[in-house]
Amino acid sequence: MIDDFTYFDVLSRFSDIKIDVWQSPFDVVDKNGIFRLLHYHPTTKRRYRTPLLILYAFINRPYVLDLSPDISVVKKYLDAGFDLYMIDWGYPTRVDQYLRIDDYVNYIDKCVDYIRWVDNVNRVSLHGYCLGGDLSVIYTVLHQNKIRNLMLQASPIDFDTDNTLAIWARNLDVDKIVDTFRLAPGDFLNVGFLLVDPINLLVGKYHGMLEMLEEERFLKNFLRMEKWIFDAPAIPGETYRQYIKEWYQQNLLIKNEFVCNGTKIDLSKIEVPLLVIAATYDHIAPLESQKAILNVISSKDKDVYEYNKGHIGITTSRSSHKEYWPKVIKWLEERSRKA
Amino acid sequence: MVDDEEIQDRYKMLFDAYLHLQAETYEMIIRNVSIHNTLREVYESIVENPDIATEEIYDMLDKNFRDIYKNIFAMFFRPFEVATYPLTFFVKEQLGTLTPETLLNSYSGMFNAVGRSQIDIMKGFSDILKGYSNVVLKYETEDEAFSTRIKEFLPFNILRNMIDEGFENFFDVLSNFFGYLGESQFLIPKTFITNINNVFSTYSKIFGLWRRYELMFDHVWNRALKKFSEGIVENKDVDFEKFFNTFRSIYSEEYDDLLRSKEFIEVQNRLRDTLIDTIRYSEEAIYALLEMFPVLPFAPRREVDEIEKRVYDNKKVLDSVERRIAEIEEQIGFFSTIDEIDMLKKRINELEKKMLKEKT
Repeated sequence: MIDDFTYFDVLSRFSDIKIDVWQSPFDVVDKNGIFRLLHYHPTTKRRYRTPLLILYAFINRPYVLDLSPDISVVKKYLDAGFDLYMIDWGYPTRVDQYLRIDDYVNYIDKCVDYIRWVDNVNRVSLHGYCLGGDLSVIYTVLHQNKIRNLMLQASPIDFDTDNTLAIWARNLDVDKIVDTFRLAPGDFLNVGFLLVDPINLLVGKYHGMLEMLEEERFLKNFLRMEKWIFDAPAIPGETYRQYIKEWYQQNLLIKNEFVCNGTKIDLSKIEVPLLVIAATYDHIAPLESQKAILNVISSKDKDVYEYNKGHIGITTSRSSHKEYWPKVIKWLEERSRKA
Repeated sequence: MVDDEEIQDRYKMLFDAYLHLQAETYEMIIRNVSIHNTLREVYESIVENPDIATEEIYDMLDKNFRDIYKNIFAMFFRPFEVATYPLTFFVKEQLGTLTPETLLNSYSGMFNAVGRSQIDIMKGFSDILKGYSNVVLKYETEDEAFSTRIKEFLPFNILRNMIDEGFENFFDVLSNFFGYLGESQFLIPKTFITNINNVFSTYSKIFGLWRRYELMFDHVWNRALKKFSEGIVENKDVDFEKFFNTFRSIYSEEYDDLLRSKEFIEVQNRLRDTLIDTIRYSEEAIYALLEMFPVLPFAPRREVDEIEKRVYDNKKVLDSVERRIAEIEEQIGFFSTIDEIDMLKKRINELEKKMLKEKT
């Protein structure tokens, strides 16, 4: 280990390391404003007739699921022979300030209909990550006849938890923020996420990087992660208002009182097979919040696979790709129609 | 020995790193190099002096850890520091010497100095212009009356007269200012004045809140420092990695308690809300001015908002119509048509049977 570093020692290591994200090739098969539907090119012969649609959160970017060539959930699905789609919610600006959660759900429906038509199937499987899981749950309640399987990864369903982020959100004057900025700026959200745990996120992580300066593969993945963390899009004002008020402050989702497109979202109506992909040390969506859905749905086929990582680590750690994701994919394979 | 070319190469490398790293990553790498080196230095001092007492460790950490504190929280504090910079600067400059008497003297001195310098400068300009116009007009040989009239309209003379009358006019303008404010067609609308007034009133609160906010971080830092120095005394023989992990866990725990506390959340919310208020009132003041400007080439934000809202609403209608059409098409394509075909088949069968009956 090196005792003392100079800026040159460290930065010179990064001066010629080029990184890329969005590893797997895809086609943009639909566009609606900032929203896009991506269709991934298969890496192997299609083995399952049921297509899979990944729904990411409207916070941060979905390429965390396809961050590096050797750590990619997307690639895992493609290698398993699934026909894979993903929605990219884009980078909202003030022009998109009036978008509501209903609009996200309606776009999901448009995409699901497109996939059903193109693939000539009745149902698709959904994999929702973080708040993308909440969108998946709402969508499933509204259009259950189009869904074969539902997978929720690190998705907060019960927002009445005592993690720092939830405490802050419950005390936030969201109207003031939205009425002034018309959206929740990405930097504003990012500072919030980092301030939740400043010592670990702003010192611990970089200390680890200094210890690994000679490992080029590590540095590349470190930079990919950095790119993703600080590549934070804004949230449209009206969506942010609903998210904070109706989910965090009023906790309407778990109470079956959240209204989307004029319909109350009654979680007990969900009957499709459900898998909760749970992160044990999740400081954004605590474990109890992720598991809460299991007690309120009517599905007979429901399970939880827990892994001892955090909100992001469950997706980006090498160990989870070795030990955990094969199990998740097996669960989906067993419940998908063969091609 | 590093030669010039190598130094240039090094700078180029650093600049390359700056260009292709995320701005935040670059900043955090720079800050963490500094944090690492400070921690390392402190660690080595402790290892070299195994008999060092808790108080000595505390003093050493207190002296060295201020930089670490700044490096960790710089990113969070920056927006508030930028916002409160004018007030911070003023308070820091004035605090040492500020008494009611010095304040009074400094203000009267400042006004006198400004006033005197303005008068001197303007008189100086006036004299120069008088002299210049005299030189120009010395060669005037035309008709006297015409010449006098022309003189009045020469730019130099107009300017000179303005300056001579300037002081009176200035004070006239000032004394009439509040009169003008009452005139509804005045270019500075009342909404501007109201919002500027609100900007000052909210801005003055930010400084106090910011100080409270930062003191909370500072207080926890010192408490963690004490805990950390006690922890080190008990485990002096650890390697650097364990030393670092002790630092990390103690500080992390202490800050976690702070960040979840009611008091902190209240101050954080008030500080953020007051900053937002200041931004909102400033925006409103600017809109008020823009709206009064007769040749305004831009649409104020609220008008753009209204346009966006109408576009959004129309798009919603369009989307719902599209969906309805799709639903109807689906119904026709997959259900009604099949039913109709089935019905037609039945009717054909019936007709065939009927025909057969009739034949037989």
